[in-house]
Amino acid sequence: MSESNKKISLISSEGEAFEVSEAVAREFEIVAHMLEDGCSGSSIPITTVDSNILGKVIEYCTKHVEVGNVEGNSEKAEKDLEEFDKRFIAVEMNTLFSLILAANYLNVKGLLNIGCQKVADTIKDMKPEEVRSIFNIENDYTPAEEEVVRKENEWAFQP
Amino acid sequence: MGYDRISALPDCLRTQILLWLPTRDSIKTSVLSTRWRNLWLDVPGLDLHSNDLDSFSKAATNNFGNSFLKFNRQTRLQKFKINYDNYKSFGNSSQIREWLVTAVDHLGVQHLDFKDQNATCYSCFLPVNIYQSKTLVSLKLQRVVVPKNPEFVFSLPCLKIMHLKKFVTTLKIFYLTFHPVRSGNDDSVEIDAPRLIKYMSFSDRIVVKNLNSLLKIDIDTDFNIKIGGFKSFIIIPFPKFYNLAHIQAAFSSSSLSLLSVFLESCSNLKSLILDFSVSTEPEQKMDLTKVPQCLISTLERVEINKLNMWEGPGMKLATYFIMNSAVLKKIKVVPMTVSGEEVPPQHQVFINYRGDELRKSFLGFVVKAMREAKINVFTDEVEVKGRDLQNLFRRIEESRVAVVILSERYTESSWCLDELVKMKEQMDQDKLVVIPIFYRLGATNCKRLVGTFGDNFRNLEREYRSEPERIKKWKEALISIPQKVGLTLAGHRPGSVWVQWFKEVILKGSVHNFWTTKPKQSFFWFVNKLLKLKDTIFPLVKLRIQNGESALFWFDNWTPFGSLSDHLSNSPSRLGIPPHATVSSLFRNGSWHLPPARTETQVQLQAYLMTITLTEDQDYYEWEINGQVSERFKTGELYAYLCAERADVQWSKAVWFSGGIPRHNFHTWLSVLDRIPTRDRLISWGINVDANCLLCNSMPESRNHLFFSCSFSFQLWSKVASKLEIQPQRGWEDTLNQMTALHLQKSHRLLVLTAWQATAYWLWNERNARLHSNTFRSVDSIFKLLDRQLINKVQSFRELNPRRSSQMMQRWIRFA
Repeated sequence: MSESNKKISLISSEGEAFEVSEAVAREFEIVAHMLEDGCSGSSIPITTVDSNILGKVIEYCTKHVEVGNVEGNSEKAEKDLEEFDKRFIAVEMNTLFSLILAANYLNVKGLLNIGCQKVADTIKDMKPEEVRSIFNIENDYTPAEEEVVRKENEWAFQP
Repeated sequence: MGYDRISALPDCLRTQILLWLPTRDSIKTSVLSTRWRNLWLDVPGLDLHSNDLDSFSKAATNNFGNSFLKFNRQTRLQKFKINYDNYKSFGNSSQIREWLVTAVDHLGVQHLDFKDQNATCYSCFLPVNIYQSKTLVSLKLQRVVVPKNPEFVFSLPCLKIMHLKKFVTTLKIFYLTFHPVRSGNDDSVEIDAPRLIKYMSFSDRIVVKNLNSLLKIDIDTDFNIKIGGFKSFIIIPFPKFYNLAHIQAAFSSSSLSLLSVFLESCSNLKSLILDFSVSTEPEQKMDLTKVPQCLISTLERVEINKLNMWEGPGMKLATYFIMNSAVLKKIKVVPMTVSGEEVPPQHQVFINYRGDELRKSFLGFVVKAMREAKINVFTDEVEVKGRDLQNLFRRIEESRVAVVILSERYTESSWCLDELVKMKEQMDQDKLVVIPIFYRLGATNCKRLVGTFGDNFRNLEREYRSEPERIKKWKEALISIPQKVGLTLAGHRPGSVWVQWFKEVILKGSVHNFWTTKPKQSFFWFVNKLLKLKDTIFPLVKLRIQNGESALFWFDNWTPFGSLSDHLSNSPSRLGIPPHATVSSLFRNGSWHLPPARTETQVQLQAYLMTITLTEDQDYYEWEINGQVSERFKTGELYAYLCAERADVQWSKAVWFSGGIPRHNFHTWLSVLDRIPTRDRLISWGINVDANCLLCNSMPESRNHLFFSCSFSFQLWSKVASKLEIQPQRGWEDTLNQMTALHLQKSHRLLVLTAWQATAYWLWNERNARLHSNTFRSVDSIFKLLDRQLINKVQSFRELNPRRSSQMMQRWIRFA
């Protein structure tokens, strides 16, 4: 038990410290690797993630660790976790991308997956024009070039 | 207008996002902007629907498939999902099958999800390759026809998740092989295949192997059955397999209670094959009082594989079947063999050696002994082909113990030395314990690089002279490794490698052969010495006959007549009994089968045989020395027997005592026996040397003069004696008697003896220093040395016996 009770401070880009249990910190694979490599210091700086996002990532990991520890009644717990994930990822686009980048950097697989899935769900069944406007993508093709691209895999663009 | 964050993501993240889209949508992103032009080709997955395929023209299909599967494939394919409609998707089936083969065979696809909308019952669409993929982690098949093939084997070593729905199969035998997966607690297998389950109930065999890491099996069938996990044991309702006659399954000791439930549910089970393993997890007790129906009425054959005889649970299990099965005809227990054992990925012991002859002889025994002790061993023979040093280095890193077998040929190999350097690095970081074994090689030869060992090293040095840095490291390793831990290969305890080797190689597998093995020139000197001792030893080693299965009729010492080979030697024939006959072979159906006695000795023997009957137990040896019986060999007793008891010499207590300085003890012993090379003795051997004592230079040197009639010696001894509060004597005999008869407190006596021996030793040391290196020390400076050494010695008792240490110290420094 002593191991899971150990506290570790994660320090955001603004220098704010978040104290979490080691089990939660280990959800961040990058941290887990650092711990395994003998980085036994109790505070770990995470310079590329700001406090707001780091807080959210920690919230996600804490919940997953908690649920993982509860024994029995796994089906209900799994459903709860799914619900949690759904609510957790329902954020505005800017935060979503920050979360994806943070999850990628910290190597939190589950979060990265739900993040990517969320973005994919937004793109799915949309016309390219709609996708551009949702994500502020600037179309830098000339009309002629765009036509060539469409022709290349014509079938995909058929309704 | 906001900032375009999605295009700013690194490509690997954008492909991750596209991976969640059907391929059709993923392709559509190519028109978003130039940054998205070819991104879809990098997506590590395919997700196609028959509707998509529907609109393919043949050329478009080719174009798409070729560009996708061949364009970028540096990375592995993660997902491949196809929703296929056999009717709608006209002639492209061969094309799609080709893609599947490419994905499975070349791109290492991990997740395959295939749904056939309209499977025709008798054609199997899927290529066989997918059932034997080495990379598949999850396999979901719906409405799929499996080829009709009676010996078809599913081999999916990485599979964690399997989901089969409306799985049409005509299989008679269905093998699923799961290899233990380390990470997952989310492994699951779902089989939803009504026809298959039918087979399970009506037909021949189901083989499910290696369920060790499996946590949950859901069989959702017509019976609506659920089998709970191995850990949680929520088993409601457990299926009844009325028609199941044969089971082959793997159980570990931690899941025994499940076995009991399982047997309950198979009321018509005829044969059971278990692969049993002892798990590190806590043992789940099997209720051994309950006897399932099948044991009473139908179970005829039980086979337990990989049983480890020395562990309790396995034997208990075997006993359970024997005791409780009413109609059991055959039980077969296959003990764990070395080769069949599964070797966990981490190697615990790394063995580093050089030379084929070593592998065939000594190494074999080391490895065997270790494997039998359940120690996981790595020798580089495991990785013969494409031997890669980095690979071996990794093995060293994984290991916690390394055994280095240093033989003369060791230094022939730069590989070995590179490995040695690596081991030293690991050892210096305390990550590895290195145990050197000197195999027919003196430790000093190794440290000083002399002999063949050194010559080989110098050859290597010449060969690699362009790499002085490497050679330097080799040397460092060669010097430091043998010094760190010195292990000699001399453990003669039962079970040691040496004993094993002696039994297997010299005695050809049985200790009973000791009596018939003759010394040979090719054997070691020591081995021959042992073999030559057998006549001396023979009368002392009695074989106690129990079942007579191992006792050799002619050669073992099992009758009061000693060896029958000698006892009956005057009878010309061998009585028709072969030389290697065992005692039990002559005892059949409760009586002895011997030819009629023709001589007096034979009559005696037969009379004796009448008095013994064989039992169930194993024969055993006992030592019987002068009527004293002991099961274990005791060196002291045998020594006393061989040399005949002699009285202790009076002075032994003054020379040998516990807590002394061994080197001084030995020197004193030599002195008492007058065996130190003093000048009077050298002259008596005819060597021409100066007779005068080197210390006082006025009297001839002899033992008695040195200790302590010499004026220099006596000066030192007086100084020491005054601290010890004893009267110094000048004569040798007087001193020895004084030391033998000390009536002092224990700590005081120990101090006096140690100081006396130290004085004699340092005087001899001074004498040698003067003779050989021309250095002269005064009485005071010798005393200082002696004082220092004595204090150190006394200090060393502090841990073990603080009171004695303090008493001795006080006495010694009282008059400092």
